[in-house]
Amino acid sequence: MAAQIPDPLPTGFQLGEYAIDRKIGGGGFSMVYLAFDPAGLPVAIKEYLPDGMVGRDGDGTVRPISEDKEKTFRQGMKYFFDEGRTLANIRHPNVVEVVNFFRANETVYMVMRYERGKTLQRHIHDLHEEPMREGFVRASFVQLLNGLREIHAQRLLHLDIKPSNIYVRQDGSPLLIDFGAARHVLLADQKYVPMYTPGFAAPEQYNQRDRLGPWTDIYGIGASMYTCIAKRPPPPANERLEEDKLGSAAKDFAGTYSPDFLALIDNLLRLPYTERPQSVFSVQKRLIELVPAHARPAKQSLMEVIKQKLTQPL
Amino acid sequence: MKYSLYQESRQGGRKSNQDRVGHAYTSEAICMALADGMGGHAHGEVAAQVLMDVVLGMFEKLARPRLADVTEFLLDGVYAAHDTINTYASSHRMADTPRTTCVVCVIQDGQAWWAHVGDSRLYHFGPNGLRARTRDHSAIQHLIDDGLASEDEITSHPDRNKLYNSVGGFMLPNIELSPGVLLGDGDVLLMASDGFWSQFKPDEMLTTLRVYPVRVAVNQLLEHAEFRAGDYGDNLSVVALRCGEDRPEVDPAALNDFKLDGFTTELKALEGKAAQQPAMSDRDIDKAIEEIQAALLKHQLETK
Repeated sequence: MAAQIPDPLPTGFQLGEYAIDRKIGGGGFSMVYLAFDPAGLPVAIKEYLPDGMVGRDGDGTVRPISEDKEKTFRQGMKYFFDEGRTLANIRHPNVVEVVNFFRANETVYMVMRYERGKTLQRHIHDLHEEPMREGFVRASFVQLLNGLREIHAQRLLHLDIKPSNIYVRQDGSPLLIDFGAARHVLLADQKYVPMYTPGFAAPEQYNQRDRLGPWTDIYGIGASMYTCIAKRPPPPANERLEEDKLGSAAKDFAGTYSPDFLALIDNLLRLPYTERPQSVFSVQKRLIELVPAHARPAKQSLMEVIKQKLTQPL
Repeated sequence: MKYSLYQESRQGGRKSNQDRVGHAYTSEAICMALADGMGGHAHGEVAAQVLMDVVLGMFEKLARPRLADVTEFLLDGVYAAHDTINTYASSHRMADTPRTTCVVCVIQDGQAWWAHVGDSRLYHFGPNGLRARTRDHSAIQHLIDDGLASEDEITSHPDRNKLYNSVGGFMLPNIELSPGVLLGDGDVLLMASDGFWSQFKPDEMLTTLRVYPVRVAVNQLLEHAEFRAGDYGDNLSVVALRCGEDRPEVDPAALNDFKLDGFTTELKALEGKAAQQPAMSDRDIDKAIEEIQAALLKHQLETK
């Protein structure tokens, strides 16, 4: 049975101090709108709106469709708050910025700074057959990993890293979005709702949830980089555990990308978590140290030439 | 026939809008009209409105669903509007006859015909740029044609507002007709009042029209024109039509990337411990919001 998806708020709807312009995304758990604040600046507003649980009245109010759905609706709301709490405590140029959080229409809303750009998924899609440049992939991920380091420093894991959760601003700088699955690590009373995306979720997200760690997000980074070059995600980790059909990026994409870069991706996608790099910093270091894709010998500076001439043995 | 049409008229910085735009269509023919009521004579908006009513009314009566003779329709329509304006003026004992400029265009059988009076213009853009535009019936256009003024002076010359041809008034309008022009796929016909066209070179209009769907392009151009004309700018009006498929909407904000990847985040049903978790009460919600607001405030203070 298809889940019932409630109608989005209509264009022009006045949501508190914000004027709704239109729906720009969302699904499953929430809906995202472009809206304008009283100063006329654009913001992105995320509305907690799980599929198949609620309907919407003419005045915008969200109503659970039955009594037991009401309970589930209120339980799920906790995870929406978790995301808000996570993001409210992080300020980083590569992490989406929350500016407000409020209650209205019998549900809750998270207001985020609106950024012009498109998701990495859209970038991949728009390229069609053309390969994504190695320099672009590397530059994006080196910056993105700054944001991920900040998250790990707060003892959080993102747990849903994938191209559609990576947003690339118009100036090319990337941004991690959608922290719906993010979790505190090392919290004793973990009560998970396992949330993951097949293809991007690490094997331990399926069967060993007590083994989650930075290496889990690193698998997601590897799967996202793999998607950039292969234009499709790797097979789901649970299928790979039974029969690994992934193959090696180093072999499959040799020629188009540099060998070291491909070897790194293969390394990030290792199934046993102990065989992956254990920290984001080490991944970043390897990305930076890679020989540039089309390395040219550095041109000698004029000073060096002169020095050579002057010091050459007679 | 497939086409996309968009029209809009804005007041600009003036006290009233004396421009009028309109269109009518049948299954086989389209008629678009634009009139710019003349200032300097009383009730320009009356003349513009009468022209709209008469021309479009006549099109609706005669196009069944095609016009038998397009040229005849264009001439008859504008002359009829002229007579109606004059009759209206005398029956309402108006001291001065209201006048208007106009451009009317009919598309049928993949061809376009247009007629104009005064300085309302029609531009025809093809794949390689401007294919044709109407010549204004103005003093400055005469000077340009005689080599006494340059095209650049058209918006600044002291004689720029002197028109010698109008619909309504003592003189019969001298209607200039175009021959029938074959339309290609993607061609754009843009009709505009002087408040709009005086702000652009044709290339500027073309670059915007090439990229965006007509609705978006016209809106962007109007924004620019209004801004350039300043606080006391003239009324601005446009009717634009693109033949064939319109340009796709490309606003990045409109892209819903969620549908793009078939790989959506899966939310497993609540199980075990999580299922026993109590639902949030109203108090819990308010408390959680307070907590988040406090964290946000802390960061805002830090950045200040």
